[in-house]
Amino acid sequence: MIDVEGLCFDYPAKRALSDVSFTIEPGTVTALVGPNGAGKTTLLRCLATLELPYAGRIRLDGIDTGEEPLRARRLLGFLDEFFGLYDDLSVRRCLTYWAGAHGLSGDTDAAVLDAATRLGLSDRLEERAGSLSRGLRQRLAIAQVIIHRPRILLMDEPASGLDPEARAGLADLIRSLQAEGMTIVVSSHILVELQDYSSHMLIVDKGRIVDHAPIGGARAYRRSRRLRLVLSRPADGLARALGDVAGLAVTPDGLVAQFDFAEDLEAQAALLARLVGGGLPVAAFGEDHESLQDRYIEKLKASR
Amino acid sequence: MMSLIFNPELRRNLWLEFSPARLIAMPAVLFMVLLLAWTWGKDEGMAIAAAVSGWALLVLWGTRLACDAVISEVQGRTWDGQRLSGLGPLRMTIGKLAGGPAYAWYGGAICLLALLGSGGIAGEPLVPISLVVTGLFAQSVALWFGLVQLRLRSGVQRFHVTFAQIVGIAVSVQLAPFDHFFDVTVTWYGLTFDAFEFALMSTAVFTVWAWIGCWRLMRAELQYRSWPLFWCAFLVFLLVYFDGLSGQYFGLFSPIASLSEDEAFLWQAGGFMTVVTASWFAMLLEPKSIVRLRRLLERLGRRDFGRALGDMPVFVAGLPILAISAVLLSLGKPEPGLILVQAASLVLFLLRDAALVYYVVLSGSRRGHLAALVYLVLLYGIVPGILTGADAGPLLAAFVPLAAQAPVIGLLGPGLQAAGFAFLLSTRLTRPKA
Repeated sequence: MIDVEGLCFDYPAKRALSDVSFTIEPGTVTALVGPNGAGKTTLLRCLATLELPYAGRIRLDGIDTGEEPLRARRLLGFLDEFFGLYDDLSVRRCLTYWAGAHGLSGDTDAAVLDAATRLGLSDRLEERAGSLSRGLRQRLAIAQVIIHRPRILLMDEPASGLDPEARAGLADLIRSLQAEGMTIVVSSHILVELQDYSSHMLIVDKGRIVDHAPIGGARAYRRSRRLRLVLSRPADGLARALGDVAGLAVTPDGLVAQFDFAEDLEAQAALLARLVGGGLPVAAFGEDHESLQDRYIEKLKASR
Repeated sequence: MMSLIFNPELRRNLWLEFSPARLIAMPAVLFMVLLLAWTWGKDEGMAIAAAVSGWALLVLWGTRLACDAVISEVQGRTWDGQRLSGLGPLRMTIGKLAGGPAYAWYGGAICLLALLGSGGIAGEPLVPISLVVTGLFAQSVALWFGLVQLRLRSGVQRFHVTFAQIVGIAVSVQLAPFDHFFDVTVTWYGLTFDAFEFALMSTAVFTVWAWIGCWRLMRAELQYRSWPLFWCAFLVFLLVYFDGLSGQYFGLFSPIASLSEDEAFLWQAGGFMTVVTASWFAMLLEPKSIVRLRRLLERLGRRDFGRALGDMPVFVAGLPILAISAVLLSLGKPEPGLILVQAASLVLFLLRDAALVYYVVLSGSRRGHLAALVYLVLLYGIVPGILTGADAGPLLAAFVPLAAQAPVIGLLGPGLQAAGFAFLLSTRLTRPKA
């Protein structure tokens, strides 16, 4: 869906992106991560056709963004970290405007209602955008960029400034958009949240791609979770006790094991009982929320 | 066609501008003003008040609204979203030009109705048309200059709107009203026009060019690749338009025989001088990006001329037209060589200034353009003053375009300076390392 080939972007005294190439498959959610100043926002803005690269080519569903920016933009939705709204317009008029601006013709009321409903704004259509809370403004901004049902959605720090409940809502929305077949790229520093919904991770550092790979194999497609088992001392029967789990990784000291688990909490409890019953010295057992961050730091260190 | 005009951007502007309260406020205020004028001067008084109010609304206020149609988007962080929309540059330009100042036009339309309804101003039948044309021109120039400022720097502030407003008002001031004191007629390629009518027609034609200018800048802002064809067409238009007026200058001022060679060149070369001046301002007002220059050179090196044209500064793309017009100017003249030397000297000064401005601006200084202008004032004003005071008059041609007095110095002087600044500029062209 997104093909980037030899992308270079220069600022006057700094090369922001250097020979960047990657391919993003349709229907995936890619976490775009990297340190501050790594080139994430520049890369997103190039993908969004807002910046013209020094060299290289970007194709969105086969359309060259440099040659046909208007056609490419019809496929795109882009949510900037510092987005703006038309504060003096009602939510309905904001959405109606963007529906027309994105090329929806004829009666746009259905599209407006659909976008408002998906973002939980259907009861606020007549409210002024300027009177909405931060979380609701974020929802309206997202509704505006998806109203034309783009096939590609680019989001730069979408959870910035949101409260925990709104962040959870955002994660649910991203998952539902992915389920509809949208290809999504999310730039964020909050790796724990990215892990909730991302299928791939693209690490950028100093303008180069450090790593681009699925997160936990095909785990994200199956909605599985990654579990982490900590033993108080090494035990020989660990692998045998875990059985045929996917993505098993054991630390060299044999104390920590991580693996994908696609079943429900009952099955997880049964597995724990089996491990303890089998004589394994289990010190901790639960979801592994650090694995994305571990991998990110590991890859970043390896690249330097 | 209708979807082109009544596009979402225009509709959004109308939503914002026409609240019920504002719909009532404008006619209420104008009714009071016009009624006051009628009590003082009956129909004639009301007509004058309507014309003045219309000018204030369409030119004074309309310019601000037109420019703000873009600047407020940038400040409200909605501009990137608009750039990404499917509107395209033409519909966006129409939406901004028609929608931004729509409320001023609402008031302007009421003033026009009052002006026509009161029988107009005695002896001034073209005032209503002049009001419309001047309003369109001033607003277009204000939007154009707002876009110029937007492209010159990444951040825009409120004073940029005021600056664009001032430029819009300034360029729309026509000299035509002074006709009544001088009873001037204008001869254009042998055709005689009343000065007011000629100014009005010229304003209308330049309004179309201002619209084209807005559209081209909008294309650039929306990341559309553009070749400088319209710029070249504009230069040809300027050449034809101002050459037609050259004869007029002779009639207004002194006979050609009493002028020095340089003065005679200036008066005969009205069109050429105008395109050189236009190229100079284009050089100054165009965004200067070292990345774009590097990319241009890289594409030229690969003989990718199509893409290179898109990166080429427009004043460079217009140089062949300057050269052709200089040759045409020299044809049939008693001393064609001298005219070509003068023309070449002017072009060398243009190139020197361009190299200097690019070198200074690309240093990364926030006020690079201002610093470059200070250096140019030194070169064009202070240095010639020193040379004159030091009795080094023959060297003047190296710093001001007076090549007819000293052809060799007039060519070598700006040529060497241009080469020097070009060398300095070349030191900035190395790409940063990854």
